[in-house]
Amino acid sequence: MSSNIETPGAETTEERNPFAIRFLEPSQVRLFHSAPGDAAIRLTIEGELSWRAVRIARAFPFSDPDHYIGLRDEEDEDIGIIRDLKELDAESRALAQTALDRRYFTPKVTKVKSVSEKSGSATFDVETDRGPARFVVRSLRDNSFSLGYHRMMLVDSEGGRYEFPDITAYGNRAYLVLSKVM
Amino acid sequence: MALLDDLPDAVRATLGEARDGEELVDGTLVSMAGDIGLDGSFGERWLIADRRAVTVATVTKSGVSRDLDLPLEQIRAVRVDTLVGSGALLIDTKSGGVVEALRFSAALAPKFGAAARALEAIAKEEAIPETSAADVERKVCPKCGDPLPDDTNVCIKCVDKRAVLLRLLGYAMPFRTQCILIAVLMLAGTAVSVIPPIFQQKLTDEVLVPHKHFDWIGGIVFGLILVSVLSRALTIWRGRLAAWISNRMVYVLRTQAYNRLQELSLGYYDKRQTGSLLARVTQDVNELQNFMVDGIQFFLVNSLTIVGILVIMFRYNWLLTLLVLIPVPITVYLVQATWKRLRGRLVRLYHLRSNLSASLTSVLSGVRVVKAFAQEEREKDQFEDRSAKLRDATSYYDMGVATYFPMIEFVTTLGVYVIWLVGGREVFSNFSNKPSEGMTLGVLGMFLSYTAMLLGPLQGMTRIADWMSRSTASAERVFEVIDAEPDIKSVENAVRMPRIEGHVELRSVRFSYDKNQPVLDGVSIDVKAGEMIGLVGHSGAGKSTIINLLSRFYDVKEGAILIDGVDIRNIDLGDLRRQIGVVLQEPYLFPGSIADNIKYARPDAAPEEIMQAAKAANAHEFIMRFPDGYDTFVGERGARLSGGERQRISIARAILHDPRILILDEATASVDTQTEKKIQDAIARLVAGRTTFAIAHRLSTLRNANRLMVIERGKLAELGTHDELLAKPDGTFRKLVDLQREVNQINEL
Repeated sequence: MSSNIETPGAETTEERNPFAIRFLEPSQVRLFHSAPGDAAIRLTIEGELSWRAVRIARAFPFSDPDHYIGLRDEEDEDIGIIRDLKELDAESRALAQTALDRRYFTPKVTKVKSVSEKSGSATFDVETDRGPARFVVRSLRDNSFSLGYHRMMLVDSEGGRYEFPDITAYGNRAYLVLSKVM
Repeated sequence: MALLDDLPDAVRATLGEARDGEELVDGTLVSMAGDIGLDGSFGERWLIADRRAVTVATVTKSGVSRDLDLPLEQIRAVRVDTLVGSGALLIDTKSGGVVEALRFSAALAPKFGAAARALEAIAKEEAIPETSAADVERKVCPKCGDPLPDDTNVCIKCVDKRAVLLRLLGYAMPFRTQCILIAVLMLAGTAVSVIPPIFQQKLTDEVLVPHKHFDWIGGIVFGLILVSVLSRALTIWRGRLAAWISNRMVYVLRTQAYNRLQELSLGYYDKRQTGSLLARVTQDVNELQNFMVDGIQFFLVNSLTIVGILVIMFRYNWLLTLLVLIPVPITVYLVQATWKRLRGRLVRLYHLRSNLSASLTSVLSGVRVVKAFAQEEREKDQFEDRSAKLRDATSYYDMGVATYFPMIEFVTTLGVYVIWLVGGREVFSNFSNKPSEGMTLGVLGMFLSYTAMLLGPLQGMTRIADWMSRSTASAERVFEVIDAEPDIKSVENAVRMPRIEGHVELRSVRFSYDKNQPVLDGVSIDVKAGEMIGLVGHSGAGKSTIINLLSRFYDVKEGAILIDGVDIRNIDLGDLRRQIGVVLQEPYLFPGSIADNIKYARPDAAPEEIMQAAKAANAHEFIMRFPDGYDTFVGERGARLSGGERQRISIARAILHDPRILILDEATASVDTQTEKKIQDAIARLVAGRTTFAIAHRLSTLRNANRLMVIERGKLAELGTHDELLAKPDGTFRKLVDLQREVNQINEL
């Protein structure tokens, strides 16, 4: 939307191939809040444009969460990709990290307190890095996603996501239930 | 009221402090508990609103703190930001800022969606939109409190196993006479089957050992043959009867499940894989059939045999019987322990096997892609890899079976040695050779026979529990289908509408497939009878959803759709569907003849009508060119029809169906320009006099539409005639048309 762009006409400063991904030069990218307590994230690409509210999303949330971070405008259109979060300045990086943690609410299971399975549905009582949780996964096979060797994600019956970074780490009972659908 | 959760006293107290003790609760308009804390972990936070302000309070172990107090007059808009696995309630302030009130897990998204709309209405001093508890609250099992899926009230965890078995047996009720007969036959059969060793004992003790009554031999052998024949005859009778009954029970079950699948709405299918539903009607029902044909008989016959044999053995020599039985508990334990070990291997094996066949299916159906990208080698490697895994898992399992079972068998046969050892000594010391005075050679032989006869049933019984639990699981899955309630059905006292005029009205329709992502967000339009409306927009904008709602494949979440002034939910479903016709992008043809497919919606159509419809659909020409004409077999194994041909058959189907409201979903998307012309002509004939909703990506095809609805992100962005919309220089439609023109130019180059 044109109202987001504070320097009108700036898009003509550079002719860009619209069908190529734009990898943003980290030194030019600055992410900040316009006021403390304001939830919107502002983005300035130095010498070019500024956006009042951007979204931050991972291109590979499972396989490469720390690289290829997409910045998207208010209409959820692509602005560009940051190759590596580490290359950003400290303030922008912290802000991006917080935004990513906020966007991806996928508690990592640290301990399985109990698991019971019946007719393909499983009930988990777990500890996660975001606190204790209890969830039910209906038709386990359809709602489990292998994220790599021994790593998987379950989606519960209400859309909540839970990551099991290493399915061998929770004891035999849990391993039996999880490995079956791995 | 649905927007009010019970406020904990501690939270209420902090609110009181903030507002000089003013009584709040009666004035509270919204109070809702969120489940994600300030630090992004699970935690309790409250969203509270009254006529003055929105407040957020966080509950922690150390107490309650207020994080936000935003006066209503500062609020411009309230919205839900859908995140991955969670969501956030955002408030846009009039000063241009954005405030995040709180976050919540995906489970609470519907609740806070309603809260957002309510808050915005309160801030704007409008009436709060009506919210029912069903829209907002999580559906949980009343017994265990676990969340329930939308589409079922059956909590798998809380299903009573015995109840399932009883219900299963309920299917036998119509055949109770036959069941009683089976029971009698079983008793008789078992009694007969335990007789032969007694004859043998008589033969040994009274003929062979004392060298007497030589003439008895013939009689005893004849008796043995007779018993054997009788036993077989009883088994045959019982088996035939059981097969007859159980298959009838299963037939009822399968029919019920299939009928229910037909009644269930699309929403039910969205959440399930076709394969798993298929499995319920076929595999699970087969499993039940096996259990009812073989399982129940196996169980009862084995129990009777075991009891019968033990009674006889005890009567002859109770001490020896007890000794023979010593290995039995050990065997039972060993068999169970072994299966526990092997079950893990077996499950893995099943999984690998289904993986292998799944990958085989996908590669075979995608064989063109594999070849086009020259990936044969990779597919070979992958298959080899999977196949090797299956090989290893299978041999691991088979080797386990090969190792454990001979060992178990050894333990079970220990009883035999006990008989020889203990019984043999007793025979030696019993000079009279009379069973009444001690062990005899005949009784020894009888014991050996009975012990052998016991082994099979005993081992079988250790597996019966497993068999039973598998069958109850199957039964649960089948019953779950049978018990599922279709969410779309005719209401009681539904309005009969034998002839719909075609006046269609959408009133701020809201809809989402899952709770998180709104697909339609307040769409309104008034369509006159006979009008043709074109639906335009990017893919995913919500065009198909409007069509799904018009066909009542789903019900609106909020707002209403009215046909001739009647809410679509109150119209008799049969009347509605009879008068709505659909032409889809990729028409599905059922296996059968072309004529069968054209008359699918009206099986009683006369041949002339079928041909007229085909003619109007520009299909008659090519159909007559086929050697088998209208009898040409189509479908999976049938004639290969081109996309355009299939499309015209489906148009003929719609013409014959003669709907009052017509839906065209990308009807010309997959055909070349020449064919498109023919289809366009056919469609023009079909559209005449019917209210029509048409989706098309090729915007030029919508030139005939009376008005166009441009949908953007679930909202009605533009509405007007083709020319009106084209005249808007900055309009979405204009942009789309320009874009398409550019693309076409590129294509022409």
